[in-house]
Amino acid sequence: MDQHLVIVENLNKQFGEGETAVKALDNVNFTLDSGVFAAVTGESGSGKTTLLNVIGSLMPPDSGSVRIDGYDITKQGDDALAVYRRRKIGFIFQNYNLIPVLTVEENIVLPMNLDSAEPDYEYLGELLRMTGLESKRRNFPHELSGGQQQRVAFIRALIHKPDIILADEPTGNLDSRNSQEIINILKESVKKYNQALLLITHDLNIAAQADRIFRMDDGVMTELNGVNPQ
Amino acid sequence: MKQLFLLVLKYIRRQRFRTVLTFLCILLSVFVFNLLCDAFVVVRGVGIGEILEWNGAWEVDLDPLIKKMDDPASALDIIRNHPAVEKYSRKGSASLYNFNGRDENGYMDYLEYSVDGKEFHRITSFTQMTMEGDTDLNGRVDIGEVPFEQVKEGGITLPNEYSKLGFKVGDTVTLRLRGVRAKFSDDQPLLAEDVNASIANRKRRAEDFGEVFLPEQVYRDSPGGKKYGESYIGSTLFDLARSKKVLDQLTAEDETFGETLTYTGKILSFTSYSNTPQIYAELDQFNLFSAVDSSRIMYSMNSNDEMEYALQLRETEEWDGFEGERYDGISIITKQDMDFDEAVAAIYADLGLPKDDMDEILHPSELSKMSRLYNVSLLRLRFRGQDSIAAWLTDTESLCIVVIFLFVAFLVWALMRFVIDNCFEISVQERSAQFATLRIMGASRRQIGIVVGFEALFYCIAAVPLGVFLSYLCRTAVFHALDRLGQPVSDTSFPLLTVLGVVLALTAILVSSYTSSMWAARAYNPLEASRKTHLKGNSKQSIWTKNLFGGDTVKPTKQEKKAESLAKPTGDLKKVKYSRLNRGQKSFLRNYTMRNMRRTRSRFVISIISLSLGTMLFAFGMALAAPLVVDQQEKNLYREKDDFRVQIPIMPENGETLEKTRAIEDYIRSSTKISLCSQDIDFGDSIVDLQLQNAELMKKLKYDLEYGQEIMGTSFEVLMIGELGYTQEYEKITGISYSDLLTSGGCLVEDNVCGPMNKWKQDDRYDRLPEFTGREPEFVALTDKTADLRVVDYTMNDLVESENSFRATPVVGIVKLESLSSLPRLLIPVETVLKEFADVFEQFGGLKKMQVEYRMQLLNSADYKETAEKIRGIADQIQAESGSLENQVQFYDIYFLRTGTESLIWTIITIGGIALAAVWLTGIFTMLNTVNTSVLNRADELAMLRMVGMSKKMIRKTVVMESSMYCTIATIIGGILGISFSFYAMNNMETFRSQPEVLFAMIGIIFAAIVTANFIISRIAALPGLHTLNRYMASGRMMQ
Repeated sequence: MDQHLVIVENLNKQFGEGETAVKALDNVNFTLDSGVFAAVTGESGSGKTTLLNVIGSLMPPDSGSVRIDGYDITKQGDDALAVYRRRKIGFIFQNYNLIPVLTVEENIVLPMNLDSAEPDYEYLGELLRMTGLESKRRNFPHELSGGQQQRVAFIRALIHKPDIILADEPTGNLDSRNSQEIINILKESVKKYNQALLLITHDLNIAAQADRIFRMDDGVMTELNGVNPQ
Repeated sequence: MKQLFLLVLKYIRRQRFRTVLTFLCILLSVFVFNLLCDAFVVVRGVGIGEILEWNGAWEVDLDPLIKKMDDPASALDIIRNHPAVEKYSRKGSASLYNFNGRDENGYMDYLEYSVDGKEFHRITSFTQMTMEGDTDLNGRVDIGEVPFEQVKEGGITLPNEYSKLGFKVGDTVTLRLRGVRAKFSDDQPLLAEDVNASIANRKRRAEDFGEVFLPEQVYRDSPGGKKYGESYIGSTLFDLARSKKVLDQLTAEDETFGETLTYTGKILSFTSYSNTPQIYAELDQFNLFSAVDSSRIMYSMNSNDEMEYALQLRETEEWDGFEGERYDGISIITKQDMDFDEAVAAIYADLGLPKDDMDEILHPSELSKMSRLYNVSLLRLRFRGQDSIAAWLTDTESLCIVVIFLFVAFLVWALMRFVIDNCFEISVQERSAQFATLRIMGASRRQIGIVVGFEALFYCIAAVPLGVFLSYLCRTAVFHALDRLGQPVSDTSFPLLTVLGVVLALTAILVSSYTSSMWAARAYNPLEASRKTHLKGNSKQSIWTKNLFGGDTVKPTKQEKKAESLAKPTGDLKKVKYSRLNRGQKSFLRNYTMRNMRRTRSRFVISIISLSLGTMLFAFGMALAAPLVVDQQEKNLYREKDDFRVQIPIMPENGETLEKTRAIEDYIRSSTKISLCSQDIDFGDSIVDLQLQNAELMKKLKYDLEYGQEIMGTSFEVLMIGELGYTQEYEKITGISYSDLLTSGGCLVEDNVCGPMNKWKQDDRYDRLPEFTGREPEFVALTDKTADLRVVDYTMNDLVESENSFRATPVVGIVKLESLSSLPRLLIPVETVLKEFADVFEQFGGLKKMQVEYRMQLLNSADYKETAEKIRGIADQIQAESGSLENQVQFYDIYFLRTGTESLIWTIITIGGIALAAVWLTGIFTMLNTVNTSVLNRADELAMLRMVGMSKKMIRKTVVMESSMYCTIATIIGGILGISFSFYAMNNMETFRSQPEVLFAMIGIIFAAIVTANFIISRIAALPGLHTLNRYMASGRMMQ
């Protein structure tokens, strides 16, 4: 078993060819441990989302490896990765991506239903209370505000207690108060369940709360050692 | 799994509009496809029914086997008692006939028979038959009026005349038969008189009508040499005399007799169907062919070698002797609980034949196939053996029909497949982001596939059975209409086709859902899904999404740049006063709409195909229906009006008189439910005829008939009338009672005043149709005109005619009225004929037969059943009272036939219309789906357009423009094809060919109808898209 939860080695990913080729990931190497909140910052088009997508097995790299808990996801088949995603990963996107035909509660327990696993309703209730959505559990997404929808997406990412939480600008559409609430809950979950959180953000305030800060520039990843990135 | 199923139910419930559209598209597609399959089943069922009706329901023809056996009789016994044989039927016949007349030397081969052993009668044909087993296997067995059960026992049928000579049914007689060869020359008195009378008749016609008359000797010499006997006229008259039993009166010279055969048996019946006796006995029991010299017989037997020889001889036409045919066939049905091939193999084994010979049955040789085509057909139709299926495919006729069906079925299935595929594609694409989210959440491809699969299952359960059921209803309606007509139909032999239709429909749905689900499973990233980079044919991102989501480095094309520049508001920002789009805006909208349509090429193509097909079929259907509309009134005007007919034969030789018709005439007079159309009286056969020396009458009436003088040739119809017919139709016009007419001993002339016949228009069948003007009938009394009439019996022909045989009959007047009759008619009361020509009938040996036909019209269709039963009952009663089995009273229910036929035609037209509507609706729903989805998919784009200044009205116009473009293209494609077919079809119909202005008017109407219909459809199809658009704009989402 590896010491680190996430080990990324020599990861490369390029889009396009010839003159229009863009190197989204350029020989990225890093590790991430359980219980660590890591923030990733960088300009638009620097490769942050690509990094998230590769770690989340949504996109295969051109070269390199990604080992999650000793499990090299770059060498697995599609079905195995599907199982990996539903059990090990929790995704949070900027655009919520809720299923409109499902209620709040159904959206939240979706990953567990796909795994035929029984949701922890007590934990669900706790999360709903924490996010102020307990009275909305029977509502549909279109009946909620943007902030409420984002919180649903957030709970969905946590309900199955994944090993890794991947968040792509989860607070991008929220005000500062809501944003902070979300971050607080994430940090608490990370500590409580010994999870790893990799969060992409442009918000320096949020990045400053992370245990580790990474910066992506044209596909190259560097770590800012706990100091504010410039 | 349960969760996925519940997710599917939620999708179905939430997307109601999409669900209904998809359901309807699938339902209609399945309906149309299965309708095609059912149409084939109907055609096949009618074909099978006809074949089974006429040719029987046997499975195997064992003729070839029997002939190969050393001991055919034993082989027959084995077959009769074989455990693998469920039923058998054996029918054999032997016949000798000579229809060739005399050879060049005046000799002829014929037969003579005698019943009493003293008096022989000359005949030219004789038939012997044998039957056993189950006649149902052999379809219709027409053995005249003799019941099959009696025929099976064996016996003799004799010509009707023998009943007057003291013979009775059941008497045992000995029939003697022998062959004769003798010479018949023209010089004998009977033929000489005949020849002279005929030449005189030709002279007379030349004087009266200006016909060409050649020098007399030409008619006496044969035009083609001596091949056909003596003189040309003599040979013709000889043939006539031969066929009318007058051979006995001719003098034969140099007679040579063959062996005399005898058969002793019971008299089964007396018949007027045949002039010769007929024996029902085992073929070998009475060996017919031994009655004549075998060298004078050209055999035609059911074996390959002899058949070939016979065919060769026939083709060369050198044969002037007898033609002999012998057929002895046995057909079987194998035990139904046995495997067919095993059953046949068992029979072969027990007959001691090699298994390879089975090929002769299942794959007959070409020559034997010609004569036993139906054998092969029936084997095919039963599909009892695997080899029989292969044999089926070798038949060219069936193969053509099957190939055509398969080709059309494939086209329809492909279209159905594309329509369904389109529905699923739209449904899945609309939820692409959701499927991507599910994948991100950890759903496997299989689980995504299951979601789409469950949806497909829903449609399979809901739409497919309903579509199949609807087509089944249509098929049942047609079968019911056919059954009502008494048309034999077999509906039991091919449920496989219906099953095949269902399987193919399910296949189309499942394949479509599979491909769509696989596509859905591939979409990972919801960001990519929302960027719509997965849309087929669009590898470049739209510029409208470029700035929203970033990351795109693909440069916009020239067209996209141009469109972008056009999209920016220019000039004055004030609203245009009447909200009319300026030219630049219209150009942009057009370009934008066309680009969107190009982006979804597959949906575009499918929608256009479906809609064009509907348009084309609509045009073609209107073209076929147009003649029905145009001709309906005319056909109602000209068709026969009668609904019931009763034909009553009257046999004076049996003591019957016109009194026999009293019952029906009393009913007609007293009934308020029917009216008499006509009462036609004739002599019941073509032998006795009433003739008019019309040349004289023509001269006499030349200036009294309005148009009659313009008619050449045989200018009058000569008919007998009865009191009922005269009273109903003519008495009011003439003012003369029937009794007064009888007293005068005169006749009437009926002149059709619709106009000269050569100016009547023609219908599709080249019948001439008069033009009715509504002119009132009138009567012109005459005092100085006569009609020269005579009665002839063609059995005697000119042999008993004399120069002075015409009798002058006064013409009491002319009835001028409008009718369907193309000739003037001379009407003479039947009683006058019977009285005035009694002596002539005496010469004939008495008048043998007359026939009275009553044609009646039903006044109220509600009274049909009761009236039909009543008339049928009267006819049955008259028949029972007469007791004659040969000349039966006939009742014809024309109303049933006509309404049944009309019902069938309208059923088929209705079903055709439903199918046409289904095809068109499929196109409409597909287009509706496409337009609506286009709006949904472009919600963000449209939001951008709003942001850059496009008004709501302009956005709505893009939706309407898209549906209008679909309809315009469909109108052009479908309209061109449909109108071309229509023009071709209508131009081949007489109704339109003779009236080109009507043709072009119809084409114009069809074109206008197509354009109007498609215009309406374009507006309707835009409604759901507009509704969706309005919802977006109202919710403010489009400004987010």
